[in-house]
Amino acid sequence: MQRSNSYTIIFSLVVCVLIGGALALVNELLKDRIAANKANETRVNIMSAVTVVSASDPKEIEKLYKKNIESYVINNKGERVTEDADGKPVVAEEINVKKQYKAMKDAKKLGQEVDMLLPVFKFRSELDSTQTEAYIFPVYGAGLWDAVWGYVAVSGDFKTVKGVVFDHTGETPGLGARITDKEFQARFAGKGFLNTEKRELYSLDIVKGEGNVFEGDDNIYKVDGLSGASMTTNGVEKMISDYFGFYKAFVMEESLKSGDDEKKGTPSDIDVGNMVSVQ
Amino acid sequence: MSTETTVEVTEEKVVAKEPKEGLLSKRRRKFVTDPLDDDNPVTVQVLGICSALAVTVQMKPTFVMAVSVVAVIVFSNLIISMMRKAIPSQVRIIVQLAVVAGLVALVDIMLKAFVYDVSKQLSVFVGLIITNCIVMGRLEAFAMGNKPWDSVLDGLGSGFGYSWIILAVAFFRELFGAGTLFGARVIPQDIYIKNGGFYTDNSIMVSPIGAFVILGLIIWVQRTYNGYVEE
Repeated sequence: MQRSNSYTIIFSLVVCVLIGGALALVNELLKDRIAANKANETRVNIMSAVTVVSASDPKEIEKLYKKNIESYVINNKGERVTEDADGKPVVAEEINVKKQYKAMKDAKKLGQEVDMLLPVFKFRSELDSTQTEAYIFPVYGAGLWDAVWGYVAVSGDFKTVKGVVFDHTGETPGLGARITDKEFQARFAGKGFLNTEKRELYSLDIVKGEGNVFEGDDNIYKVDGLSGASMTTNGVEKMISDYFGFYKAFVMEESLKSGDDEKKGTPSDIDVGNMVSVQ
Repeated sequence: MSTETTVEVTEEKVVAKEPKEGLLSKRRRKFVTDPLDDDNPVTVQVLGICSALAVTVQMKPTFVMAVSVVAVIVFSNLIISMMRKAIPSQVRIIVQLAVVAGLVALVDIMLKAFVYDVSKQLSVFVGLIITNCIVMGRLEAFAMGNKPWDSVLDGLGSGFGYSWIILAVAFFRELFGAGTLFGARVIPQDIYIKNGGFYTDNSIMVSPIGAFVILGLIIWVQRTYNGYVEE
């Protein structure tokens, strides 16, 4: 059937408008739900760096988060920041870590320094809510194929790493993608963060190869690597080292404040509901 | 391509005494059952291989993928079939593409809203449903020339034919590659080498190579069962 050109054009336009309109409508209807899902995931990730999150109901998770986490924003100099460059109030959970990182890298290429907005999540101790059990920082970097990111939790006295959570966009399944395995992340627990004598941050080294045991004070900065995934782990190592650098000013200041404090809450696993841990 | 038998454009001439064809008449039932075995889109027509390799590492995302693909094939078949007489032939491929892309975007939004954790596992693969040859193949070969209900049945048939194959592949890949099924441990931890036993997960199963191998084995079994003869 040969149709006129104008019919074809009009038909195509109508199809485009209808399909575009339908998608826009559905997106509008569901976008709050999707945003809530993303926020829930962020909360779970932050808390997972310190403890096992066994709750699965988003409302419970939100309650848990509000109870345990106090968040604020700092800049590279370690100062508290309440407004961004445009004067808008900053919310730690809403800071786009990727954007901040990219802005910093772009500025660096031009030889400039830029003030980063860095979120800090304080995990309050169960027993004594005035005590901080852990500080959690988001991290972002480049793996082998695409981005890697996550959260690093350090102890309230800044001396050791309490735990990490990593995720990625496109690392190789079975190789680089193993950075999401709890078993790999567990290798960071107890590693050194702040060397209180020398007043400097440890430079964590994810050692090439796998199956090596690194125990004792001499090996406090060494982490067992992933066999076959050294490119990804190099990216992770650099990411951690970059962010240790960003948060250094903050850590130095805060550690002096709480330096004499020997009071620490006993680390405990928050356990709500059934024993299903949320990834 | 062995789709000629299913492209029967039966214009039902209304002869007074002829009974209307049943909704699930024998001819229509064949639309659903043929692609399950004789005319399977993956193992016989060899379509949709890419996603069959990519998502089948675990059963849970495979299951969601199967549901998504069936939904996309059925609804795009329905929509295109309803529009088939109005679509100008010069732009028909583009229109088919637009409909499928719209449906896929819809599926993506729904997944993010209702099963967020699974949507993260599927990530790019949902968007790649549009590149699945089965979808466009059925639209062009069937929906463009057949009535809506017939097209829906054909869509269901092709969709289920694809689904059972990818679920079968995922079953073996997850079982031998990770020792679990749908995330639940099946192979007991104690017999693993690292826990003092003798067993270890097969890492080839985790990579697409394993999927290829299993697919080949399935095709072999299917052909033996159906008595395939090389022409």
